[in-house]
Amino acid sequence: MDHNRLPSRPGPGRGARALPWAAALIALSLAGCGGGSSNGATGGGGVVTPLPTGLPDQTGCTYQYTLTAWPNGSGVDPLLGQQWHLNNTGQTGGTAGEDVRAVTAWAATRGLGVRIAVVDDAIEVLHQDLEPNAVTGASFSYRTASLGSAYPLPCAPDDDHGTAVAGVAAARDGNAVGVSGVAPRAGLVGYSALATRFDADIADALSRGLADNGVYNNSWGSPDDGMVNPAEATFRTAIEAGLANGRGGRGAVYVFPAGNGGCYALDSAGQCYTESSGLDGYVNHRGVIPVCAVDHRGRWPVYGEPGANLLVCAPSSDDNDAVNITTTGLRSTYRSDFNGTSASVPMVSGVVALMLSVNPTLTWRDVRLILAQTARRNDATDTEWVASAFGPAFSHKYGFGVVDAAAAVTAARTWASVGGSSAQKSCGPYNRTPNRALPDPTGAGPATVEDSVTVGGECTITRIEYVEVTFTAAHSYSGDLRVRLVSPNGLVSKLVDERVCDGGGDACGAYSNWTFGSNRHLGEGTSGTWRLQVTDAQAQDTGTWQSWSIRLWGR
Amino acid sequence: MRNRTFLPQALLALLLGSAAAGLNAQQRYWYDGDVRRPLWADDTQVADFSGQRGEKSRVLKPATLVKGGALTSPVFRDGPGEKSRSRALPGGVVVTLAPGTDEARRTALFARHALEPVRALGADMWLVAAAPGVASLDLANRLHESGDFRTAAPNWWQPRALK
Repeated sequence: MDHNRLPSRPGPGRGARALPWAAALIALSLAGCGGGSSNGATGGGGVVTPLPTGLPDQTGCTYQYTLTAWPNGSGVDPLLGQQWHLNNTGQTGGTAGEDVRAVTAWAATRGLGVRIAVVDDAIEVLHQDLEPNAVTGASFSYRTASLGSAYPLPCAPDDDHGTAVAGVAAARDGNAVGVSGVAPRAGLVGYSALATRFDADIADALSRGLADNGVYNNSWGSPDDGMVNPAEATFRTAIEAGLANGRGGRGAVYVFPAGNGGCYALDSAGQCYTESSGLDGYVNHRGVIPVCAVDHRGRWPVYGEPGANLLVCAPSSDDNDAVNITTTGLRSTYRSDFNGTSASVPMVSGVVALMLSVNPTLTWRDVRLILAQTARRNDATDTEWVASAFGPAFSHKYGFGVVDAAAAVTAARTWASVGGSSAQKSCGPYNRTPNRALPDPTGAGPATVEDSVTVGGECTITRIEYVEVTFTAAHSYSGDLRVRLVSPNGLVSKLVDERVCDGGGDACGAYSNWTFGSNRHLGEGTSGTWRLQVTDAQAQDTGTWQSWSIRLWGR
Repeated sequence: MRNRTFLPQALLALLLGSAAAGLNAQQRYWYDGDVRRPLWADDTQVADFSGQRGEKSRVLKPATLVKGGALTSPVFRDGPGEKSRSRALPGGVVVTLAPGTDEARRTALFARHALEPVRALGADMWLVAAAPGVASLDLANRLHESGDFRTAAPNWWQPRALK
């Protein structure tokens, strides 16, 4: 059986469709006069800070920038009503209340004193709605011609992603222009490491400003192609260093997208193949918060990726990209077409900034636990939801649910810290080498091969925070494999499902010491028998399950 | 094994003489942390880092269109499949030192290997200079195998998706 992919569904796009009134806003900005604008993490109405000089070399770029003094306006942001993700009243035909509950949270905090670092392709820190929150001199450009500049500015029209992301997280509120971010008074820092996509620049950006940055927003990841996509060791080293050393030892908070690989392929029979978020190495690390998307009805969009690694979701576009997210565009414009999990991630980053604003002593582990425990169970009748006696219900489509800014801020105020990296316990890895054959399905259906390991009293973890399963199989088509982890209490982590990939041979890539992460077992104990189940779920091709190990993290 | 290539791309490959034909057998390797990973050379493409932007998806070009130059690199793939992840060498090597290595020890280490530091990447990780292309791959492997560094890896360019 060959699987021929039909013309691919247009994925979440990155087109910059400026709204028609953008030109008017540009004209307004050019006409603006006055002695500069507020610029810094602390913001503050009426405070005027001179803009720094030293704009980068934009030779050869489509866009040239000047230091524009934006008027210090005051009043309601005119596009706030379109930002349904902040306050969903049903204005887009969606379900009222399906939002991040930001407006309620703003009664307590708007993120003052917390920095959000946006790691992306470029960030227009001179945008009229971003510049008031941009931290003077703290950003960093990685673009070759402007390396080291504090202005990671866009060069060409398609350098529009980071600016959109930044607006969702931290566009200034109450300045009578444009939009508002989820944390509209947080400090904004831009690192344009995705301009080059070099490993060193990624590691650099994730390690830069560790003492001052609270959250690192990363709306990027591996290609959504169904393949096994490992994260490089330099990435893991940078994350570990950030967890241990960020914010004076409390740890940096790294937020990443679960991915847009839902229905990445259709076969000739019209069957949809969906990538598992477990196949992206960047979101299978205990120090990373993987964020999924829901639409304006609180439902799973077609591009969503399931996974045991998911933590929380946040709003974004619907199946057809008909209802999207309104945010900042290039050249101080605005756009209403931002979509995919890229848009969901900065909402969670904004919520984390709000949490850290009311309680700066929270560690990176505290942040994860609060997000999980305060998330709102959306799409409540969906059958993927499974209750747990040890923590909140979990769904492989939604993680612990949609992020709830108001509940998270309330919990953050009185949270008793579980400590940071140095206080986190780990058990294992418990290594197994089953060397078991993985037979093809028969007329009776696919056969599941199981191996187990028993964790005893040597492991003193009483409440699990994260589980890692490292898996190796020799198989001529690894995409055939379905892998499940079953805890001693019978809770199941769906680590990966069978799929097809574009290309010949073992096109999906081999499982060679591949590490799956799982948040599904949050709060469980460790003692008992952990079972790993491997199924060759598709006809043709066979192989051998060579080895696996499990490592448990918690307190 | 099965070929599940998209039909339109399969036809295109036939018309162009099959892109897969340019994928050479495994020739080289690199160290990703402690893991030695094989590489497959893709002779159909060249990575060109000479552009003003550097960068993004414009790096990979058909080999027939690039004459070569100081800012180019061969393209490698992570597996034998023609669709496996591509990567290229823009120059530089990322070395990780033992935790807590002081400045004097680091300076001596760099001098012993004639390394020019470019910038620190956090506490114990450094980017050191190396020319684009296989020179940086060879240097990274030599440094890793010297045992003087915890890890040494090329400063890879690789595709990452804005989501």
